[in-house]
Amino acid sequence: MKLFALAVVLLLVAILMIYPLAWTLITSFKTNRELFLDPWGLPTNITFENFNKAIERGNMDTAMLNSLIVSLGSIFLISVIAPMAAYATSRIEFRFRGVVTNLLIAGFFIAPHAVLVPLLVLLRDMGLVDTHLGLILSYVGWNLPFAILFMKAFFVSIPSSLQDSARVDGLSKYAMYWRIMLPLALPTILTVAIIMFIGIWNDFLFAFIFLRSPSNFTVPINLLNFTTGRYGSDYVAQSAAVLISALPTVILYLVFAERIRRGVAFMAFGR
Amino acid sequence: MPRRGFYHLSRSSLREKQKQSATNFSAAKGLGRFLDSQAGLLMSLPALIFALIFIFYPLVQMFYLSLFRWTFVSPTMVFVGLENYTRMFFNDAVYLRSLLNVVLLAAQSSAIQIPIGIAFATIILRNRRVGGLFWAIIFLPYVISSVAVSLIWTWMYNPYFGSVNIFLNAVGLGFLARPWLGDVNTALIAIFGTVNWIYIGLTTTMTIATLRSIPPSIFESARVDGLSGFQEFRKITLPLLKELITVLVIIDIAGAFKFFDLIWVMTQGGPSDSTHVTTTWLYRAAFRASEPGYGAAIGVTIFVISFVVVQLLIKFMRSRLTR
Repeated sequence: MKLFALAVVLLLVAILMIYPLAWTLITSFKTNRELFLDPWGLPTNITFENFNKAIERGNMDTAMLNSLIVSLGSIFLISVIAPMAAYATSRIEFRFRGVVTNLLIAGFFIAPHAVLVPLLVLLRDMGLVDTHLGLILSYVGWNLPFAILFMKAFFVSIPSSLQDSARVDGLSKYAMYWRIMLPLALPTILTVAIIMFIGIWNDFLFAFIFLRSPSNFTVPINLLNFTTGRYGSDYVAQSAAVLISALPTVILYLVFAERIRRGVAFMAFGR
Repeated sequence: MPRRGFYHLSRSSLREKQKQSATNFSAAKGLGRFLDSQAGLLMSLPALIFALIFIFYPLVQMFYLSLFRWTFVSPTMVFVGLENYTRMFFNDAVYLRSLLNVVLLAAQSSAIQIPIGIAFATIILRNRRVGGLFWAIIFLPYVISSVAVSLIWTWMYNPYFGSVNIFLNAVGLGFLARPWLGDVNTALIAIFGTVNWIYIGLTTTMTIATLRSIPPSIFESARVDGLSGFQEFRKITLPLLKELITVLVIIDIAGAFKFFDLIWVMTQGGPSDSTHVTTTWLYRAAFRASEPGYGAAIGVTIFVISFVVVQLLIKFMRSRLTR
C-alpha cells in the first residue's frame, strides 16, 4: 500500500515534468485555430508546416548554424587551454602557483551578470560587438574557470608514481603532459566539452547583450526574436521553433545522460 | 595494451630527439632548460590571459564606470561620485524591490527544492530501475535552454489557451483561474513555479552525488542492526546531508543573483515592475534606459553581495573542490 502510494506520487511528478514538453510537441502539429478552439485537442491532420515556417520565416536554420559555430569554436579553445592550465597548476611546482590558481578559478564564483556593462565596453573597444569572435572569446573567458576546476579534480587524482616514472625516462614537462597526461585526460575533457556545449548552446545572456544583427543571432536569442516579432501570435509555429531549438541538447542528454548529470552536479556548486 | 605501445613509441622518438639535440647549439639548450623550468607558468598563461582580459579587467573597470554619468554612444563622461549609489538605495524603489525579489527567490528555492530534492534522491537510490528513469525525466528541463522553457511556461500560463487555467476549471477550482503572469499578485509566484520545475532535477542530482559518496557499508550495517527505512534516513542520511543543505542554501542565494533569462522572457520585470530581479533591473537601466553608469553601480552591488555569499560557499566547499 505504501509502495503503491509512492508509485502514484512518482507518476504524478513525472507527468508534471513531461506535460509541458508533450503539450508543446502536440501543439507544434496543430493550426492556431485548433489551438484556440481546443487547447487540449489533438491535431486533425499531421503536417510539418509549422516546422517549415520556423525554419524559413523564423531563420532557425541560420541560428542553428551560428550556434554551432559559436559553441564548437568555444569548446575547442576551452578543450585546448583548460587541461593544460589544470595540469600545470595541479602537478607542476612553480613560483606564484597559488596566486595563479586562484586567478584562474575565481571567475567560477563571479556572476557575469554583474559586469555586463564593462564587458560590452571592452568588446566595443576591441571592435568585437556583434561578432561571433567576440561571443566566442567571452564564452571561453567565462567558462574556463569551471573547466579548469573540473580538470584539476581529475589531474589531482592521477597517482604520482606515473609522473615519477615518466620523469626517470627523461621526458620534459611538456612531453609528459602531451604524451602521457593528455591521453589519460581525454574522457574528462569530453565530459567538460559536452557540458560546455549545452551551456553555450543554451546561453541567452551574452548573445542578448553582444549581438545586434539577426543574421548573427544564436538559437535562444533568435527564438525570442521570432516570438516577439511579426509571428508573435503564431503560437503553433513558435512551438515548432522551441522544439527545434531544444533538439540538439536533448539528443546529447539522451546519449550522455550519466556523464552530463555527474558533471553538472559538480558545476552546480557555482551556479 | 595500447597505452604501453604508445609509451614505447614515445621513448624511441625521444632517443632520436636527444641525438638531434646533441648537434644543436648550447644556446638552444639553454632556451630549452628555461622553457622547462617555466613550464608551469607557461602552460597556465593562455588561461591566465583570458581571465585577466575578460574577467578581471571588466571587474575593476566596473567600479570606475559606476562613478560617472555617460552613454554608450557619446564620448563624454560626467563624474558624479557616489550619486549612482545614493540614488540606488534612497531613490529607486524598483531596485529595492528587486533585492526583495532575489531574497524571495532564494528563500522559496531552498524551502521547496531542498526537501523535495532530498526525498527524490532517497527514493531514486532505493529503487534503482524505476528510479533511474524517474531521475532522467526530472533532470530533462535542465538541458533545455531557459528561453525555450520560459516560452513553454508562458503558454502554460496563457489566459486563453493555457493549461493551468483549463486544469483549474476542469477540477472545479475555476475561481482561481487568472492571467497568471499579467497579475501583480501572482506573476512572481508563477515564475517561482517554473523555477522549481527546472531546478528540482538539479537539486536531486546534487543530493544523489553527495549520498553516493557515503560508503554503502554504513547502510548495510544499519540494516543488520534492524533500522527501518525512516530510522536509517534520520540516523545516517540526514546528518550527512546537513553539510549539503548548507551548501545548497548558499548556492540558492548566489544563484538568485545570477537570475535573468526566465524573468526577462516571461515578464520583462512586469507587471508594474513587480517581478524585477537585480540583474533584469541592471539590464533595463544600462541598455534600455541608456544609463550604463547606473547599471555598472548595480553590478557593483551584485558583485559585492554575491562575493560575500560565495566566500561562505568556498569556506564550506574548499575541502571538496581542491582535494
